[in-house]
Amino acid sequence: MAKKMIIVDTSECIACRGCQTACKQWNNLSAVLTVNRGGYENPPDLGYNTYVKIRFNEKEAGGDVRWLFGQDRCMHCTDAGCEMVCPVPGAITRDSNGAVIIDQNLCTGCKYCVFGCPFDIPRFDSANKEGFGKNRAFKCTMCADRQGMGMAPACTKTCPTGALTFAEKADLPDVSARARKAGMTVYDGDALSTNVVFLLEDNPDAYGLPAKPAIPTPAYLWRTVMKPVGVVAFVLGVLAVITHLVTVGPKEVEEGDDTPSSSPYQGGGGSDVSSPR
Amino acid sequence: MSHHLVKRFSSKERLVHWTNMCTFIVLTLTGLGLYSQTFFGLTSIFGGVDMSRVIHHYAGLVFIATTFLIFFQWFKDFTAAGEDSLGDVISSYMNHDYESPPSGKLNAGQKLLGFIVFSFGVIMGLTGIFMWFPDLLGRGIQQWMYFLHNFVFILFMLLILLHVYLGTAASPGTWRGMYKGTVTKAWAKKHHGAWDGDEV
Repeated sequence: MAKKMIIVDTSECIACRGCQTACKQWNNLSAVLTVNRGGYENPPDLGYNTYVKIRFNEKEAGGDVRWLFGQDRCMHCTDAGCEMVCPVPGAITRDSNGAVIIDQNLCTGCKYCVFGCPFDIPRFDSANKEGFGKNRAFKCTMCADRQGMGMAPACTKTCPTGALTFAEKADLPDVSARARKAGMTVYDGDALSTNVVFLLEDNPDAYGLPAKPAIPTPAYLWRTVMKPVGVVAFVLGVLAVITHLVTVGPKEVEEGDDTPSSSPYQGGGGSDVSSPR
Repeated sequence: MSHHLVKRFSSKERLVHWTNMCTFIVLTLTGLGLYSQTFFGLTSIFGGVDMSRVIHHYAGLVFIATTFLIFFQWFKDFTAAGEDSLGDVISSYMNHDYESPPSGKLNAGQKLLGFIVFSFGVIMGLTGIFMWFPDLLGRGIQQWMYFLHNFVFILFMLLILLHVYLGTAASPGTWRGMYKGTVTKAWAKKHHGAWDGDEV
């Protein structure tokens, strides 16, 4: 299947939070008991049972406060940090539509993906409410199950204003050109090439998005750099030891009157070393 | 009968070192399996990835405990004055004709190893605790914990490779000290000339 994308046109968003509700409904996610924090933004954070959340960013300009509605959600990176750091084969995969999916049946709860994600998206079911085991990671699936049946993701299906649209990734150049003409910033994760594309009315910082999204440097060093370094270092170490053994050779103890054994490896093989020669 | 033998390590000292050694091996195998999909097959030795994690966590606790015990049980040997230098030790292994000043119970390299192993153990333990409970630190620092755990492991692995080699094939008769707790007088004279060990 061709790659798809979700376009988030922030200029069209009215923060009705229909996407939050539709997501919970389709994915059968439980509600979160929250408290009034003095604003409309709710719940306070993504969670194992909250895959998308409208963020009410406030921006002050010329004595006026303006709302910049953004959406917290998995960006479905083509170069996905979570997938890179995941140690379990198949636990985090990308499908042919471009969706990055966590399989909670395979997830072991190591939390590597939380810290490998450039956008701080995966969340944990620390109390095992979903029954997969403690600390399994959850996040938006780009409704891969719906896509498999030829349907659009639930959030895009429900969005009443057209802020969320589901499109072919191949259309991105056209969409970008139109958005730029309208004075908007196109945010597609740069080198990460996210399959969720934001059309922003302000700079990414104002929406709580990283200005220069990238797989975290320590995660990259940890996995992509240190793995071959470690393997090569070990092989070279073994070769160095073998080279020393066959060239310089072992430091033998010269047999004296008080050395007991004919074997140079006294004790190593459990030979009878206690009887004098 | 056994007048030619010298006591090297007590059974208590050896038990601590053996426990440390066994947990190091278990930690290496489980840790590699938990590190990357490349080594995921190793988790099957321990009954799957979930069990590997449990074993890695608790073996880690035993490893750190015995790392401290090792450091304290041999602290006075690690800090003892000696005539030999690290250069002497290296030279004596690279050239068998090299005349090194006599070493005490431990040579300069072994003393240095004592401190490095302790430092590595503490770093592995600390970074490991933060990997076990990753929400204790901020996100930015936590990301470096994974890297540090991995980076120090590579150095640790190379150091232990050297340590095992020097304690076995490179130096016949040494292994006996850790296996049976005794070494021959000839061995003691050759490797630790300034050490006056008790005869058995």
